[in-house]
Amino acid sequence: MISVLGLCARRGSFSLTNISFDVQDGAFLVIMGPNGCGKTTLLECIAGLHKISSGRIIIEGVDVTHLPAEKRRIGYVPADCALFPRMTVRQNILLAFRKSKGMRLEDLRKILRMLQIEDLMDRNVEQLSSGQKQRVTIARALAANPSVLLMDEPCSALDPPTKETFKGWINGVLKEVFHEFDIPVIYTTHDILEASAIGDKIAIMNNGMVEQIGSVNEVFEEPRSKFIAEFLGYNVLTGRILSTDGKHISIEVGGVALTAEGYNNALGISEEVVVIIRPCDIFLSPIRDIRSKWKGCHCNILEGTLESLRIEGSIVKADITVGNFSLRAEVSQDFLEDLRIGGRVFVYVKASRVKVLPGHTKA
Amino acid sequence: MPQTPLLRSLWGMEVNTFRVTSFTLLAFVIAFFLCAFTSPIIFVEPWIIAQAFISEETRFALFLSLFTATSSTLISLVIAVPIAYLLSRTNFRGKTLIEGFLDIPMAVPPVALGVMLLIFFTRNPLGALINENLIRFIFEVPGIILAQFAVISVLTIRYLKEVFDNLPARYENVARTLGYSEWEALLYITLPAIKRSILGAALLSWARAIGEFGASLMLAGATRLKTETLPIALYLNLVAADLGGVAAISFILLIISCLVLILLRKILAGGFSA
Repeated sequence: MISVLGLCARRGSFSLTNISFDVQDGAFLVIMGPNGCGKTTLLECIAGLHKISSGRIIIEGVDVTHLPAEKRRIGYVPADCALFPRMTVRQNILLAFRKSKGMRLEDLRKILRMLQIEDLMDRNVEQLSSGQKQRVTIARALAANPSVLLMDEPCSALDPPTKETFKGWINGVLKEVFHEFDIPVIYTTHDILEASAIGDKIAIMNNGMVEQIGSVNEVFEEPRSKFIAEFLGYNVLTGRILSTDGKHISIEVGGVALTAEGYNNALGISEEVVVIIRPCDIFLSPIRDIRSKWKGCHCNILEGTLESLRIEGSIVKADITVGNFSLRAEVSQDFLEDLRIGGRVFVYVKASRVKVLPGHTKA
Repeated sequence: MPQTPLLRSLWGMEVNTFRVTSFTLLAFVIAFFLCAFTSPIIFVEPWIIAQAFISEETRFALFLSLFTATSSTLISLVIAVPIAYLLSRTNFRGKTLIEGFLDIPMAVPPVALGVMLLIFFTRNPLGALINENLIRFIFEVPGIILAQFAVISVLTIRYLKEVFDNLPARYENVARTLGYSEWEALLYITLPAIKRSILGAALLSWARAIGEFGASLMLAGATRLKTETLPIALYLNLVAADLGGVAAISFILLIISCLVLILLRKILAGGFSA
């Protein structure tokens, strides 16, 4: 288990502020955030490659804050792999294995077999494909028998088809490997789909701070701040509370009234709030007709104009203007032919899918 | 008015006035050096050269040159690797100043450098103490090595710093997370990765040491069969009007230079940086 307590560090004018979390053995923490939010610096601080100005790092009960990088036993997989140049895969892995302290050769063989790099051992690292490099780098990190594994954007350097394989692979093979090792894994990415596919626990960073940390479902379903909602691709709107009845909140957004399920009693009438709605929670229809399965729950029905449609893979993204604000929605291709750009559409959002955040959360 | 040029293309290359001019200049330069390189062999009687080749003096000078240049290169290398690594990897206050200071010995003429060392070992009490009790540099073989070291050490540092600059520090960072100390990372990861480039830098320094004349002359003098390296032998033979010796030694120096160039190409064929 690794615990990071109140870590602060500086890099030029950028600083990491008061970062705390812990990751249990065998668990996966995904650190997500836009580029430049401090993910890599944080990993370097944990690995001992960057000086921290305050805070503590505790691994398996040992305070490693003041230990040099070579005494921390942290496996580090940098974004660009950094396989030792002009060496074979075997040399790279053996260099790590030599420092493993107590790992048996059979364990090493098992790692190599699970990561499917037995056949690559005599290749020069320069001859590997991006996916093979990634696997070798993970094997090298594990061959040193680390107590924690850090992976810095392991998908970012892969070409798209390899990336898809790798994601599936992380869930299958890699999780098995990490389970075998039973060590905490910290994984950074700026890709939301990747994070949702692999993470147990997720921390979202912004500008050197952790904005929210929790299970993937929790963070994705209940963003705690406007920044996180925006980062996760929510529609973020500002509005004013019209009325509450304990069960529902009615909010005025850009000249339209929206109803949300009232779980936030701390909000007073006419208070400014942030309303967030996930694009995939929006249902579009050319006609005003409540689908039978939606009956019985409180549903917002808004009339708007369809501004544009973009096909991205298997989903279609739509921009709709409602009142004086615009909404992004995801439509399945089945409904594509019913919709006409510039035409009238009805926007359906369940009240339970409309979330309200206090208006003073910082951007 | 359209003109038909006399020659539109030659060996598949476009012909125009610029190319004609530059190729003429190129031919001139090549002819100039070819004349210089071949004259000692062609215009000196072969039997005098042959005699000089096998003379004890030439053999001594060749051996002494190889020995001193190899020694000074090895010493420079041992000192320059950690220094170049430090200068490449760390930032500290006054680093620019220090780097500027290290450029001075490269700019100062070697003769002047040799004279300064000579005065240090004779007039400076510390230098005199070293010269009297530790190692005799003045008019001795160690003086040659020191003179060559003075000329090539900063050069080696500069070559190596460039080599290290070309290798990102990330490899060493990863090595440290695997459990290697800074020294071990340099030894087991960085140096193996750039061994060719280091060999190339060493070879360049070595070639420079072979040709070193001014500083050695000042510090170690030009004593026949004692401090007589190839360039010094060249000088002594010229002063003694021994044309055969001059021709033989200049030929040997030419051969050594060609060998260095060929070796350098072979070594660097695998790429200079990582």
